[in-house]
Amino acid sequence: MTWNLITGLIATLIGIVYGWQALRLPHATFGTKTGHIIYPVILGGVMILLGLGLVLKELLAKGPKDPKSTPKFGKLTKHGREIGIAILASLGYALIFEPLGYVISTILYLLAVLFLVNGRAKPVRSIVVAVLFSIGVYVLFAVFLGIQLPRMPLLDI
Amino acid sequence: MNESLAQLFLGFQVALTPINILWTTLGGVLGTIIGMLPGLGPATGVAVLLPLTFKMGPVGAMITMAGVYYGAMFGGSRASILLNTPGDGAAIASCFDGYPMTQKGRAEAALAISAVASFIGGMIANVAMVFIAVPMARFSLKFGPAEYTLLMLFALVATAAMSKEKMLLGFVGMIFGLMIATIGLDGLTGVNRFTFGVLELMGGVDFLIIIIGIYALGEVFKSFKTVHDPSYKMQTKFGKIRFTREDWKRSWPAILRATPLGFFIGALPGAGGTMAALMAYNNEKSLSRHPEEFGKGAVEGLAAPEAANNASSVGALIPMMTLGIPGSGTTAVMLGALLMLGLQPGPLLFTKQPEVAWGMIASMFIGNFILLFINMPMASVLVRVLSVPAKVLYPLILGLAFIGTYAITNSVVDFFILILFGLIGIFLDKTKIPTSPLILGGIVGSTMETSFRQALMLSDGSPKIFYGSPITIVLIALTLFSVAWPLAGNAIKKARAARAA
Repeated sequence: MTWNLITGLIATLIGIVYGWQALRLPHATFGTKTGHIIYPVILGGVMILLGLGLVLKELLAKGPKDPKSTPKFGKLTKHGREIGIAILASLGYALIFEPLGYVISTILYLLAVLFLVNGRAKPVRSIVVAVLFSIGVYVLFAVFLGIQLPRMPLLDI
Repeated sequence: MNESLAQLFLGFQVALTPINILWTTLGGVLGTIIGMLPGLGPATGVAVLLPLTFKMGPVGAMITMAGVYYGAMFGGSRASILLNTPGDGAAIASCFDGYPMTQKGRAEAALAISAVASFIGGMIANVAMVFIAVPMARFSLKFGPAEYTLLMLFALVATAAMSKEKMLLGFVGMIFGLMIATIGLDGLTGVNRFTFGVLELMGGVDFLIIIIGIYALGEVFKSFKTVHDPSYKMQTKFGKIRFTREDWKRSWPAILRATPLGFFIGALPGAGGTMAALMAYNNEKSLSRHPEEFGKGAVEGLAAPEAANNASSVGALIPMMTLGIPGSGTTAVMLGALLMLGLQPGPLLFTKQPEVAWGMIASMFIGNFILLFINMPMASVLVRVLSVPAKVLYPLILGLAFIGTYAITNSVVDFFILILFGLIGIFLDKTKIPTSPLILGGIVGSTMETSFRQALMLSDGSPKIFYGSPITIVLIALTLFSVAWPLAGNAIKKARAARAA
């Protein structure tokens, strides 16, 4: 299983699902009846061809395979784990963004990511950076750019 | 020609107002800093800084974004010279001779000559742009919907085909981008497409968010791998930033040769600053009487790519402004931003909103002077930015990505799309699918579909309209050529290798 093979299979699948969805689109009640269908059907068709092309090319390829071109499964590396945590933190940020307001949610999010990358080293720096950034951005956007950001609960600032 | 000069004069009247000089400076400085920082390029910079331009109005926004673009070309070489790490892709070639110069204790001369080369490259390219823009815009009035469809197809295919052995992957990315662009309510028929019943998808997926997701989030996630490396040691004390007469004597012919090359490559769809810089470097090496000095600190090997990448950033703006067709990742982002500001790039931009088009062009002349100042006398101050640890910088970029997204759409729902595309960015990196065809596809996708359908309506459904005029035939030939050329190159290489073996 190389990355190219996986890409080919996924591309084929996307092409089939997308093309099939396009074919099932309702006809338009005004304008050209099928104008909005032809173009996506072509896209789906080309994607299927590309996907199959990749699969074929990969199956016909000879010679030793570069170990880098095959994905490794199993235990996550430290790098992979960090990405995972960062993504979870980002999802959490999206959930608390409106309820907690911009400043608090952003301080929490930045602290999470800063401590994730820095570990226990330089905690003061992390805290200062997170607080200053959040307040600074809030002031810049709310005061100077006039873009409303979610406010803090209770204090309402 | 006189008309262009008159318009340029009008542009200067716009660009020389204090507020616009401020935007030019701001864009240039931010661009230089963004260009310097490894992992952050002009495309990311424009996307993340976009919300800052909301209040500026179209003229200020264009001036600032252009400043970020060519400012990044100035800044990119700082990290190449001092750290042997290119600040962005277009500065790779500046490592080859820039870093050896630093190792020899000539960092000051390297910083100075690269700033001057960037300046000259940018200025000459600006002059060329003044005279090419109007005829180009006028020519594009001859384009009907069929011609536009094919032109966009050519730009897309050329970009996808650029990555030779990964051509198939490039096309997969391109089609994927085009597919995303079809999501949402279809403007011509009122039918919902591919929304899967999700209300928020009816308005379509905002491509600027996809760009921030892939370029900002994806890049930061990827760089978690290197963030734990001990921070690099950098020279922080500098003497006077200047070069010798001997340096100049060796550099100026290289600069003059590299500039038109860079300009031309930049204006072509697909090829960007990276390619322009690498070609200029190779070109200079093959012309030199001392090719053995290249890679060991030959000053002309630094001057040539620096002039070329600046010229290419100007060249890349031409198809974007005159045809509404971006030729690179950064211009694609700028096009998206323009559309968001309610401007329609293309021939009409020059006649209907000359203050925007010409104000921006004029500001680029001013910006080059400002950047020369920033990158020569102020260079030793500015490069301190490079000592900001990555461990602080990257989390802040994540913060900027989210606030940028919120400022664009005012909706938290898009945070999830942002995160999704951050993940897709990692996947694209793993599978080696190039990102620029995808981005380009997404940005021009809906315009291309509209043109395609308009063309078919004009011809009552007959596909003949796509090969019925001389322009369409030329465009088809160019498209085929852009695919065949890299393939032929590969075949020749293989044949040569086989003969050698």
